[in-house]
Order: sequence, then C-alpha cells, then structure tokens
Amino acid sequence: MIEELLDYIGMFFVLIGSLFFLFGTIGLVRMPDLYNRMQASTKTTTLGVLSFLVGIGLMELSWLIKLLIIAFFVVLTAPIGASALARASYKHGIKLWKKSVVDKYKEGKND
Amino acid sequence: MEGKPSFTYVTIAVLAVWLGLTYSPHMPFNMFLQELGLGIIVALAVSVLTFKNFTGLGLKYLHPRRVAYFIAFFFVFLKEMVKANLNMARIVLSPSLPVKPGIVEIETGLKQPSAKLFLGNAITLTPGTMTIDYRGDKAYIHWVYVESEDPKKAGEIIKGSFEKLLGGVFQ
Repeated sequence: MIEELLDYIGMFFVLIGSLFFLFGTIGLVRMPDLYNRMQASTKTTTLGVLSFLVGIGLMELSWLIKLLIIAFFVVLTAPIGASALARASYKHGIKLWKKSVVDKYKEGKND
Repeated sequence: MEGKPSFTYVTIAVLAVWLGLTYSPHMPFNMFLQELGLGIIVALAVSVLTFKNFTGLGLKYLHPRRVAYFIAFFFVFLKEMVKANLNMARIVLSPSLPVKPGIVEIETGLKQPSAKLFLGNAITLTPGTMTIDYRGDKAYIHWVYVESEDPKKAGEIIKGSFEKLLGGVFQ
C-alpha cells in the first residue's frame, strides 16, 4: 500500500521534472541571446534533474542515498559550469542582445 | 590559502561518498567488505593526488549555529529555485516574451571565497539571474528582466536573504 503510494508520488515528481525540461527547451529556442538561453536551460534542467532523482528515489527507496549524493553534486556543479561558460563567452566577445538595457561588466576594466 | 592541507580529512570525505554510492541495504556482508576495501584504496589514491588543495578547516562549519543557518539557507534556496523555474516557465510561455536583459553590478559583504561561491551559485539558480564574474567584492549578474540598475537596489532584490544566511554560516 505504502509502496504503491510512494510509486505514484515518485511518478508525479518525474512528470514535474520532465515538464521543467520541456520549459527549458522552449526557452532555449525562444530566448534572444546566449546569456538568456543559458539562464533558461541552467535553471530548468537543474530543478528538472533534482525532481527526477527524488522521484526515482521514492519509487526505489534503496537507491535514495545514492541519488541524493548525485543531486548534491548536480546542484553544486551546474551553476559553476553555467557561470564559467557565460564568462568565457563574454570574454570571447559574444555580444549581448541588442535590446539589452545595461552592461555594467563592460564598463569596469577587464583583467 | 589558509590552514594546512589535511590528508585524513580528504580520505574520509572521499570514502564516505564512495560508500554512499556503493552501499545498498540488501547487500551481503562480505560484499560490503569488498566495497569497503576497494573504497579505502580509491580514497587513498584520490587524496594522494589532491590533498594539497584541501584543508581541514571545513570541520569548523559543523558548529550547531552554522549548521542551523545552513539548513535555513537550504530551504530558502529550494523555495527560490522553484520560484525561479515557475518564473522562467511564465516568461518562455508568454507570447510576448517579456525580457529586458542586461548585466548589473552588485556588491557583497561576504569575504571568504567559499561564501562567495555559495552566493554566486544561489544567485545563478534563483529567479532570472546568473552570476557571470566576480571582481573583488563586486559581482556581475546577468538579469533576464532588469528591475534596477542601481548596485544597491539591484543587490537587495537579487541577494534577498541569501547573504544574511550565508553570513551566519561562514562568519
């Protein structure tokens, strides 16, 4: 009984996770420039992966510890990767969208 | 870097992660011993290669007050992350695509590099903002919908309660 219930809750989490993936992908297509696209994909995939891992953990309780460790590393590394990529793209000269309102990063001196 | 490298600390941390990843409740005892043995070998090998980059200073963060702040930070972070995703979903699904992007500058009062790292990560995963770079105490944030170009006001909106909570953890 309990296991069945956990199964359904887990499926719910997996469904939510895949919805976030879908939104992230739509954002990837619709957003105007690289930086906005990275924002859309980083946020949604991180929460999507978390939701997936928790969902699978609830369906298969003996995996829960492993999945939580994986979740920890995903949350720790995904934003670092995004920042590093955004910074590298900026330094490489990829421009902001032409309708961007402000660029304080350019005004400071580049080192 | 402050503090001296700690070999034992790295070994124990790696071993704990190894056991967490390989342990399962149904495994027979001799199999657990095998995993433990191999884990010790791997942990020793990893820490021989990397221990110079890690200090045992992290242990002082196990103080109850710091842990309490960290738990509070974690829950605020989860809440903000869900909010960020709903916000992003709203933006990408609305036909007019309401974006007004830009890079703003904010200041942080946090001093330790690891505190700045946590703040940067939290900012990246919360509504509409992504850390691009730090220069000293100044962080440069890409914002999908710029609400304020003033460093002070933008800082208040972007950092929310993260900075206070991280200050409790790290200072």
